[in-house]
Formats: sequence, structure tokens, C-alpha cells
Amino acid sequence: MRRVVVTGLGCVTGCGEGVEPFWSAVRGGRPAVARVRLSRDPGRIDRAVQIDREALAARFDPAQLLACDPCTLLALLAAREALAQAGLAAAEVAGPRTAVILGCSIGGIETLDDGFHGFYKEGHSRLSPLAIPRIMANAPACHVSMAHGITGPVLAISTACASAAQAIGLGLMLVRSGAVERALVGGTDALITAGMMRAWASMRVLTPDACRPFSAGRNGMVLGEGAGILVIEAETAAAARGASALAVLAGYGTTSDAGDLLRPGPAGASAAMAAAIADAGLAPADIGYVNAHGTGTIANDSAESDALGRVFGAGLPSLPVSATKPVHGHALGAAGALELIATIMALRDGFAPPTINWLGPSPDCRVDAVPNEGRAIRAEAAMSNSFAFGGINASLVVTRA
Amino acid sequence: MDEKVALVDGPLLRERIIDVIVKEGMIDRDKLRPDATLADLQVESMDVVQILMGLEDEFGVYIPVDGPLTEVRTFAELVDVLTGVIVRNGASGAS
Repeated sequence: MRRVVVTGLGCVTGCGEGVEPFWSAVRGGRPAVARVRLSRDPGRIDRAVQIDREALAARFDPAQLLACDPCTLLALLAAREALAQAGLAAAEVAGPRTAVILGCSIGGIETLDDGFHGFYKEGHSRLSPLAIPRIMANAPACHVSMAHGITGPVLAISTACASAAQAIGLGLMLVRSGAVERALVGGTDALITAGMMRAWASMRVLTPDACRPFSAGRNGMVLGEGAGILVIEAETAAAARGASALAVLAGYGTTSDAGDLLRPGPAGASAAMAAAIADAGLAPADIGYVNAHGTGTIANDSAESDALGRVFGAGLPSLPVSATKPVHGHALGAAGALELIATIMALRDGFAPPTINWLGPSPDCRVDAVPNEGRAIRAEAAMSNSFAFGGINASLVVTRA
Repeated sequence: MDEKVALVDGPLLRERIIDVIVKEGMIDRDKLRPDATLADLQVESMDVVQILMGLEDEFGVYIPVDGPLTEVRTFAELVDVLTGVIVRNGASGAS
């Protein structure tokens, strides 16, 4: 079986543009949560981790701004950064031996929101002819392929909060199989709009104060947005061009609960983790750090803790398990990519980032959540979890290069 | 609109909260007893969400499904917890 390595990382988040500001904020436990700036009122819950739209727009020319929703612009920036780090020549990236697989939970929701507001509310009869191509969930992946002349498989994976993790997992399978030599994988979402904030608040899963995963007194999640993209390649191909690997993308496991659409179950989650660890050829005891899905809701953190217990057993109390969503927000279709980037950085730096806002242990979360202060770790392998509405579970395992 | 009005716990406030719970949760008033469990009243998670939205409309306060509500089993506990949150938030009378 071909080994697959990660050679490039790129991201844009509310912490800033690039992996450096992202990891710096995550490592230091500095949240980018703030009051949102929107043209319409989101209602009572008005805090999230939002991308600065003006700064984003300043990075593109007018034609691109016309053609692309912010979710696509974010993906273009993240892809550029990841490719630059990978050191791939333009001619190597272009062509049929590269794939682009990007998660996106809904698509260009800001374009949809603005267009339909104009149509329904303001009576504008002329909707933009570019509305559909901006809104479609495959637009980010397609624009990345166009920007770099990538003619291999291009896919959008839309499985809510598991989108990016599944996109990365599928990319791993394609590269392993030899179908492609390399892939740009990850996810993007930009859906901090008044309507989306209100829709999430209507489910009552957003916290009115602070997101505190695995903690006593936790009461919900905080929304985020952004894009995260990784360049993955066959190890032989990376070695042949003298590229240095950042990590080995070693294992992937995914399952479906086939149960409740919204309520997570520990059986499916633990099966996904066990499958990812086995796929990497490892045993649970080999995992030295877990970046949890850890949304800060009662239901997720309780089910995830239960699932971790089923996989790691007596080893769980000494396993650092942190949730970084209180820092960068729950970026939905990008979450799995951002958190895998954090996982790779944790492995490379030998440092487990903290779970911030932690008030004290919760009886249903018997994990070492690395509360409030990050710490040095010795880990050869690490895992990132993503669980989605729809009952989809996806886990990824990386090892030191 | 967001004028804060001090809401004090008492029979009148509780009656307003119960009205919202009954309406939004589509609960049969004849089955209402303090020790009735939410399961007895066939109040499911989506009904709780509807109740919390109704309370936001009525009292201008956002209450997440997580937090103290997680422990609630009976109708009386539900009224107690919701009354407590609404009073603590000094919610506005209308929004």
C-alpha cells in the first residue's frame, strides 16, 4: 500500500490569513470570537468567529469578486498557501494526476442570502446570473482546479461538519490507490450571515456566553468560518522531488449512525476512531494526542467522551484530548481540515493546545481536556475527530514524518 | 425594545411561562400535573426548542437547550428552571 504524506498546509480563519496566525492562536488559547459585523441583525446571539470580508476582498481582483462567493475566495487563498509550502511547481500540480476534494456544508450562503433578500424583500427582479455558480457547493473545488489547471478528479463533499474530514479521507484513498499522485484536500465554509446565525440559534445549540468543551457548565457551541487545505502526495512522489513531509496521513475511518439525524451516538463514533487507528496500522495506545470534535454541546461532548472511552479504555485518563473550537469557532464544512492542521502542528511542535474556557470537570466527560493551559507532549501519532448532523463520523490519524 | 424590565418570580410570571410551554409544546392541559414527566406529556427535544423560541418571543431571552435544562425531567422542574433563567436575565417584557 502506498504511503501518503502531507507536504503543504494552508488556511484562512478568523485568527488571520495563514497557518501561522491560526496555530499561534490555537496554541496560545487566544479566541477570535467577537461580535459579528453584518448588514442585517442576527438576533440575540451575535458572537462568532467571523472572517473580515474587507480584508478578504482586498486579496482579489474585481472579476474574481464578481465570480466567487467568500467561501470560494477562502479556498483559493488556502490552496495557494498549501501549494507554496509544498513547493510544487505549477507544471507538477496541473494536469490529470492531481485531485481536488473540498468539503463545503452548504455552499455560497452569503450570495444566496443577499440575492434572495433583494428578490423577496426589495422586489429586485434581476437576480445575478452568477448567483447559481457562486452558490453551488462544488464552486470552491472547481475554482481551485481552474486556478491551478488541475484536470484530475474534482469533488465537493457535503456532509455537514464531517465534510472536510471525509474529503481528506477520500483523498487519502485516491492517492493510496494510485488513481492520482497528489490531492488538494480540505474544506471551506463562509456562512456567518444574519439568517444562518438565527437558524443555528433557533436550534438552541449556540452558547449565549462562552464555548467550553468537556467542561462543567457548558451550554453550546460558537460558530466560525474559514478554509483549510492540505496538499497530500504519495510518499514516493514527494521523495522523488526532494520535498520534505510535514506528517504522514496514516489512517482514515468513517461510519454512519443510521439512527438519529441530530443526536450523536457513541457506537458509530468509536467505530470510526477504531477504524482510523487500524487503517494506520496502529493500536489505540500509539495515539498520543486527540483533537476532539468537541463542540461544547452537552450531547456531543458526552457522546464523544463515551466513544473515546470505548476505544482507549484504561489509557484514556492519560491521553490529552483537546478541543480547539472555542478559539477558531466551529467552521462546519472546514472544521475537519482546520483541526487536522492543528493536529499536525501539535504533533510537529510536541505541544497539545488547550481547551479554553474550561471551568471544571463534567461527570459525563472523563477526558483529560488539556484545560485552559496547553502543554508539551511526546506523541508519535495523533487523531482528529469530526462528527456531523446526519450521524456521520469521520476520524483521521497522522504520524510524525 | 430591549428595555430591561425587572421580572420577579411569582404566580403571575409562572402562569405566563406555563402558557407558553403549553402552547408551544402542544401539551394537553388536562394532563398537567407538577410531577408529570416530560415523557408523560410527550414533550420531545424539538418541542423543547419550540418552547424556548416561544419564551424568547415573549420575554426576550435566549435560552440554550444545554445547561440547566439538561437535568430537567418533570413539568415542575421545567417551570422552575425556565423561571429562574428568565428572572436572572432580567428579561425584557416584550421584544
